[in-house]
This record gives sequence, structure tokens and C-alpha cells, in this order.
Amino acid sequence: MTIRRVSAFIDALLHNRRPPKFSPDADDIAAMRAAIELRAAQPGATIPNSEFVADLHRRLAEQQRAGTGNLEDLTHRRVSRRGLLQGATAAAAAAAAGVLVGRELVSNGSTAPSAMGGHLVPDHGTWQAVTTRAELANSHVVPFTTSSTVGFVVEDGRRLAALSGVCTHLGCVLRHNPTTNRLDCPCHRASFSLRGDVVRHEFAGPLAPLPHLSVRERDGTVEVYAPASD
Amino acid sequence: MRAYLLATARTVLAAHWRRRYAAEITSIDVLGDRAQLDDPPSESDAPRRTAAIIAALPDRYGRILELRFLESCSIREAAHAMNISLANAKVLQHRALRHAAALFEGTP
Repeated sequence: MTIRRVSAFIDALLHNRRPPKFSPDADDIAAMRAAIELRAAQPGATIPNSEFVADLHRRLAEQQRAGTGNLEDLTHRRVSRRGLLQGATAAAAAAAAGVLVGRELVSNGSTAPSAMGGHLVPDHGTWQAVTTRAELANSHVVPFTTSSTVGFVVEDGRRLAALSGVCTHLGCVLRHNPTTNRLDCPCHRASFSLRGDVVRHEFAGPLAPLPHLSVRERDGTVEVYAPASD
Repeated sequence: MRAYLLATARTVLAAHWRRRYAAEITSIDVLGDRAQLDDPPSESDAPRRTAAIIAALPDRYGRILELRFLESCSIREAAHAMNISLANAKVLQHRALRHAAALFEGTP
């Protein structure tokens, strides 16, 4: 029995560190399994670590670039099994993260994404100041962050609109491209118009438009209706 | 697509466990997990199950797991709280987990 080793494994598990390598016996394995079950029950355990998701997006973007760079070259090169496996790992993890993020959004009470690009109305929301009329007059598109949402306030002539700033593909945070006046996804080649419509993407399936948030102006302050912070 | 990704995740996970511990510690149930993905989102029942399992353990076993997993105590703090030595706390934790493992196996 390697009690000390299992104890170190549990320490690593509880602190999100890489556990040490060792040769567990049947009892150790049973203990490790139980520890994993217990750890998985902690609040927030089903939500992927944001640093992990960000790193995953970066790796996927790199792979995407490498993949589209030179197809000819790629087909002639021998791809190692390990390389393939790593790619597959990232893709599988991304899918898992996408599913979880999707579930979180739905369980927060927002409108489920629809072909019409839903309207995000939280169950327990408050009006939160995100920018000012003056700033909007300056740049017309202003990014904002609340405790639980990211997005853009857009002034289109005299009309105000607030859009989610999260790509509906895998959840990367969109960037405003002032040249094209579109919202570009930094991860893959997806772009949305300032009305939230999909302008272009390169995925096999359809891509949902961006959800809108409620927005209003009061005394020169622009507010969005977003989930209340605790 | 989901089935493919789940199957891939399953293979990768199994390879990871075998490489590091020469044994498959956890695995993905492709059919079961896939069915779950198609279900409407629901709250995880893991916290409820865990509480039930800890409650079903003998006092000292339940206590150390509670300290470690629910109250985020280090093994040293847990040993102190239970007034036992560090070595004993590690043994107790190990036994408690093995006991819990048997209970986990008995529940769906």
C-alpha cells in the first residue's frame, strides 16, 4: 500500500495540480476513484477552469492556422500518431467545454440560442451601467464586461443595441474590427455583423447569430440588463 | 460528431491513466454520457450523492473526508482538527476513501 503516494495524489487533485506518477495497487485505485468522485462534487467542478479554456482556444487557433496553412504540405508529411492524438484531445476537450458553457448559459435562464439570435433576458437581472453616451458618440461600438457577460454596445444611427460578445461557435471572446466594422472571432474565421448576424464562418454546420441584451440610456449613461452580481 | 468526440475522449483518457498509473482509474461511458448530453441540462446530483455517501460512512471516516473535500483542509489541518498525527490522518484518509469507493460502486 502506498498511502503517502495516494495522499500526494489527493493533494494535487484538490489543488488542480498534476498528480505524481506512481504504481498504485487495487486498494489505491479504489481510493483514488473515490477521491475523484468527491472532488467532482465540489461546487463549480463541472465548469472548466477559464485559464484552461483560454489555453485550449489558443491551441485550437494554432492548429487551425497550421491546418489551413498548406494542405499540400500536410498531406505529404507523415503525421505522427501522437500529434494526431493531441489534436483529437484538444478537439474533444473543446467540445466538452462548449457543451458546459452552453449549459451554463441555458441554466442561467437566458433564451436558448435560436436561428433568430435570441434575446438574453436573465431571470435575476439588474440594469448595469456599461458606458456613456459620450463614449458611444466617439466610437459607435463600445465593448463592455459585467460580472457575468461580455458584449458590445452598438449605436446604429439613433438606435442603441447590445450584443453578446461571445462567439456562438466555441465561446471565444469576439473583437471589434474597425476596418470591416464587424465582430471577429479570434479563434476561427467567424465574423458577425454589428446586428449580430453571421457574416461568414467556415464550419460544416450552421452558426447561430449573437444574442441581444436589453439596453437603455439614462441621463447619458448606457445600461444593459444583465445577471445581477452576488 | 458528439459520439466521435466522446469516443476520442474515452481513448485519450484511458491512455492517460495507463501511461501514468498503469491502470484505468476512471473511464467515460460513451453510451451513458452521450444520452446525458442529449438530455435537457440538469443540476448535477453529485453533491447530493457525495453528502449521502459521507453520511453513510463511520464517523471518523466521514469526518476526515468532510474536512478534506468539503472544507478544503490540508491533511495537516485535518489531522490537527481530529487531534491525530499526520501519519494517522493519511492512513485514515486512505481507509475512508476505500470505504467510500465501495459505497460509490453500490450507487448508480
